[in-house]
Amino acid sequence: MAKCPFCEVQEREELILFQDDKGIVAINPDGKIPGQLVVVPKDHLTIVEQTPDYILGHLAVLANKASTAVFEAFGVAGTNIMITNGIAAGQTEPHVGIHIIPRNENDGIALNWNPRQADEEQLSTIELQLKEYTKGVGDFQKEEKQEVIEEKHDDVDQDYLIKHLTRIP
Amino acid sequence: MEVSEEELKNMSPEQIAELQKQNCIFCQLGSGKVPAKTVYEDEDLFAVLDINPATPGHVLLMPKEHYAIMPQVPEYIIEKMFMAAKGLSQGMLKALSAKGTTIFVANGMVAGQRAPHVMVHIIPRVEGDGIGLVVPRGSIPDEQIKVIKERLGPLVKQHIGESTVKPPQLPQEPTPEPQHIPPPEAVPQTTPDLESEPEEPEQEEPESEGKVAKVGVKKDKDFLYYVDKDGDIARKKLVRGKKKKDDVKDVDELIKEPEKPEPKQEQPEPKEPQPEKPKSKDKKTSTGLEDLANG
Repeated sequence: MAKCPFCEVQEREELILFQDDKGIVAINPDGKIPGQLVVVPKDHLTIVEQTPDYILGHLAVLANKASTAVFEAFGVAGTNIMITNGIAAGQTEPHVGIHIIPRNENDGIALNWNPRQADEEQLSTIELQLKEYTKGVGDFQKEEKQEVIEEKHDDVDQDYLIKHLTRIP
Repeated sequence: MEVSEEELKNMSPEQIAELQKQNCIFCQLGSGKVPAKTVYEDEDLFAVLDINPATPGHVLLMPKEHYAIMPQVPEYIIEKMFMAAKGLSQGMLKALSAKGTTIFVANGMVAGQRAPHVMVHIIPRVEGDGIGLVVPRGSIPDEQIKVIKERLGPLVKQHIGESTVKPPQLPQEPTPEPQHIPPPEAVPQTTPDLESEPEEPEQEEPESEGKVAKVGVKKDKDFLYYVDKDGDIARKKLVRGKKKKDDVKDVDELIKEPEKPEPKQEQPEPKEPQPEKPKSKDKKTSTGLEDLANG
């Protein structure tokens, strides 16, 4: 089995722009635009849902700073910060990563979508469905204690399972 | 709120920021002035369903505070936004049978930012849904990688360093205390032969200093503080030149009067060197780069 490209990046010093105990900011060697970067956790974590809150939060901070640096270094007009989470979303590496994509006018990069019309009823249904699952979301803590974060997450999962059980007719 | 161009010109940056806030639809959604399908909310963030979604369930997650661009957003909000995005993403996988999610931020108009309010898009995905949010792929040649690293590396480190290393330099505290002590000490050393103050407690001097400090007696200039026979704190005016020592006061109890010394000598007492206030050299070293925020 081929090695995970984003694990490999960690061994390629020439790509690494910054690293600490949690994450790495690196040049994406498979990128298209000069200045296209990727921020990855050091651990091999496949998707966002597997990534502990505190790591994801930290990677986001790194990504934001790196994006600012891209603005300055290349004088670009904008950046996109994107996580493709899951194969259905176009994820190509089995390692979660926050992509930073420098943008300019008429650069031929089509990162957009056609907005749809959503009717009120559909929105209300989704709202109710989604709310049911986001009740436990606010529980991430400001303190960076790993154990606490993970414990609480177990709770959230249990809550969800219990809720799910009670909804079975 | 209608504002003429002329008015706008005369507005302070704060006023303009306030105006932007008032006109920002997302601020109004966040404060509840405009109804929305809110799927998540805490004290800093809120998430609503996009009324023109990319796919059904498309969520806009944003800070309640108005930030036009992402570099303006405080670190803890960024952290929180992505942690909440994870929660919402998880919710989509479970509640909406999504097979994946795209978490997307557009910085700048060319990147697709449509409103001057920072937000994270969380878009539920299924295979073949035709959403064109893919990471551009290609291959960056080695020579170019080298150039990019040279150009970007220092800036990335600098920006990240800005946040992790808190205050770059604490102002070096000049310690004035030690410099204050010598002058009073100098007085007793030269006074004994003046017979003016036989009891003048040379040894007690430093202690009295300490006591003065401890009991919180305010130390005035030109006074010598000491602990007198009764263990009280007394002070004595220091003599300058030909001037008489005019008052001796017991600080604690006015009843008690330490003997008044009558200096006859013309010999000037050593002038108490005024301790110079050390100038603090703490020039704040500016971090150099202005926040991109305003740019």
